[in-house]
Amino acid sequence: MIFSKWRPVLCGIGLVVLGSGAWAGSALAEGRVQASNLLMHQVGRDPSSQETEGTRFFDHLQLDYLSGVFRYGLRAQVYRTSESGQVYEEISQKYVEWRSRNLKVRVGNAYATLGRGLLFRAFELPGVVREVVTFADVKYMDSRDLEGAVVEGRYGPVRFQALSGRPLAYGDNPPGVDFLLRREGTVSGGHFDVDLGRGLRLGSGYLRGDGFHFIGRGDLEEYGSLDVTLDGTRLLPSLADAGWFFNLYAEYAGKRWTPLLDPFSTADRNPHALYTSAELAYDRWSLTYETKDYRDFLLPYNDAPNLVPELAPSLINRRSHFLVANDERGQAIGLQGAMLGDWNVHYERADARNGEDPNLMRYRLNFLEVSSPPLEDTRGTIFVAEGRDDLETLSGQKTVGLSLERSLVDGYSATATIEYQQIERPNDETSPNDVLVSATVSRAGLGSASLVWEQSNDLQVADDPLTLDIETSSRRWLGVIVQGSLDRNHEVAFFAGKRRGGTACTSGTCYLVPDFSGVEVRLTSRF
Amino acid sequence: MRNPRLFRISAALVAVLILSTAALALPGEGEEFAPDFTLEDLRGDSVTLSDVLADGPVILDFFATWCKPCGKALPKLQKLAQEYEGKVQVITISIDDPRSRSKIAPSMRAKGVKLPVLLDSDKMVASLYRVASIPSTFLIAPDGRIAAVHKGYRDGEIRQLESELNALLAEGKSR
Repeated sequence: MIFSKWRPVLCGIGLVVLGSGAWAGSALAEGRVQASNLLMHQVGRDPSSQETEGTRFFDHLQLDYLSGVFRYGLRAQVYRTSESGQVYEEISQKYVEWRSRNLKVRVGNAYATLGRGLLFRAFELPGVVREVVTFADVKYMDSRDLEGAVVEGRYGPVRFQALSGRPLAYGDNPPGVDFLLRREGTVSGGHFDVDLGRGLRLGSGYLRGDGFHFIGRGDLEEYGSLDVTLDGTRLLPSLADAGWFFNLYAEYAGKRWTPLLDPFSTADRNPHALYTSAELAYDRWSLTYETKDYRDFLLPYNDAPNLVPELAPSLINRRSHFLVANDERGQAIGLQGAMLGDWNVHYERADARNGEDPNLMRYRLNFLEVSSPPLEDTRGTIFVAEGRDDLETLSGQKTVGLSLERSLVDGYSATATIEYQQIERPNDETSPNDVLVSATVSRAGLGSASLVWEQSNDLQVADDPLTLDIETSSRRWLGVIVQGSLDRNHEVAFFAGKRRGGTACTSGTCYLVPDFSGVEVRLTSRF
Repeated sequence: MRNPRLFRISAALVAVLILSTAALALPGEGEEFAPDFTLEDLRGDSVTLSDVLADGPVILDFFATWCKPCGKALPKLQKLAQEYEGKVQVITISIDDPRSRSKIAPSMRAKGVKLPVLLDSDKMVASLYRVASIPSTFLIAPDGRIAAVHKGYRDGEIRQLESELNALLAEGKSR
């Protein structure tokens, strides 16, 4: 039955596969079908499962047809599990796009960002397979799109966007439960900005949509925004000629915004979001300063940017901060540079607080990383970090890490990394710690093999929620990862062992990854 | 999908579309061609790939400021761009989210990288190029053909890209 329902799609896919080598075009990818596929198969156990040998299969296919000024696209995904999971097969996206040099119209599943995303942002996280085990085991590609239409264009110094459609109901949602997937009502809005010359650009945005309801539509709400950009290199070319660079940006967004009566108000009675940034650079040194001020601005159809540095060390990335857009203020400073002898320095500080009490610091991070220049084919990086995050019941954390890379013979290289983190929790005097050790051997054009070992005696991690007892002994994870190219169009990644879950952040968006124990194969193909 | 009938109709339409494409297609060598796109750079100016390709081969590098391997690859790409100035154009595409935009230029400056940066904050071009991980680097011939693809960065990756570039340039001379 399933096959008969899917027969047209299977026929189409078959034609693509068989014919992918037989199409030609004149220039660029015109008059062609292109496709990519991600296949993932797991055998093992996730935290929601009592089975030790459960199997899970996920496949995601993307087809794009490019023909002159038109593009057509379609995505399909399938999930199957041997356990009690949310199995499904669906066409997850379809779109038609018309584009000229200065105008683009897309109907179907579309993406758009108004300003820097305070009002609205529809985007995707390429290559990220979300694995959810909270209610039912399900896997799907993370794509936070808008189902509707988006128009983008520019005319001389003016850029404009207009959008209308149904965003996802809760930021991102697993497939299979239709009423949870899309909001009932639509959002509509747009943004335009004007280049006023000498590096000054002014913009304004508008958005209307219904308010938050678990199911159904709420009351209509309207939002507005103003933004200004100042490109210092165009304002003062002489400074740019002398090697200086600076840039300023500010965006204010408000609910039921009345700019003439209440311009730029950040009073608590007015729901608003304010973001500012300043960039300054000279030679190889650069400084970034950003501020945020969110008040009652948890829009039901927007994943507002959280202004937290995204850092590479695993133990720090895992403890990243989730924004509370209802009430949060904060700032972030970033300093990067290169010293004599090509020593690189990277410093980040971020903090956020809530409520009126100036002593209430909810989140803080200080991070310093120093990388050495290559010394006889070896390069080292060391970092230290400290901070806290009350939302994660983390009253303190101190982290250190060291990474060494060495070039070997025949194009091979090796990397060894160790990270250690000591954390403090309220009412817990044990000061638990996390350790990560990894070793990787890689070769350009071939692939890499890694061994990752982790240990934690943090009760929030060590305790197995599936048992009645409270496990206090350390938990350990050991996994092997091998990845490489089979040929130009196929890449395979193999995992075996135990993988630690937790928060992961990609491109400014954080999500939870569950633990996994077993074997996993991912095959990524493009044709 | 909510409506099974609509689903089947959509699927059938796609099959017809593909079939018609195949019927009109010319015999080829199974080569992969780069989708054209227009993106804005950090100054707000539009850049169209087909315009850039008119001047010769292009290397496209998808990166993000938070990506450690990308940070290792970029200075090496800068060096490659300097060594092959006038023969190839190296263009970087940032997939950073909109809020991280303020970190892009400072991050490039700190690494001594002066390559042009295009902004793909909603990842639509990355999706069109089927970028599943970063860095992803594409060597594109002037006729739009993708001559090489590199996924991830490992020591020696740019040397390999350089030899592929040399092969492409030699191929251009022999034509």
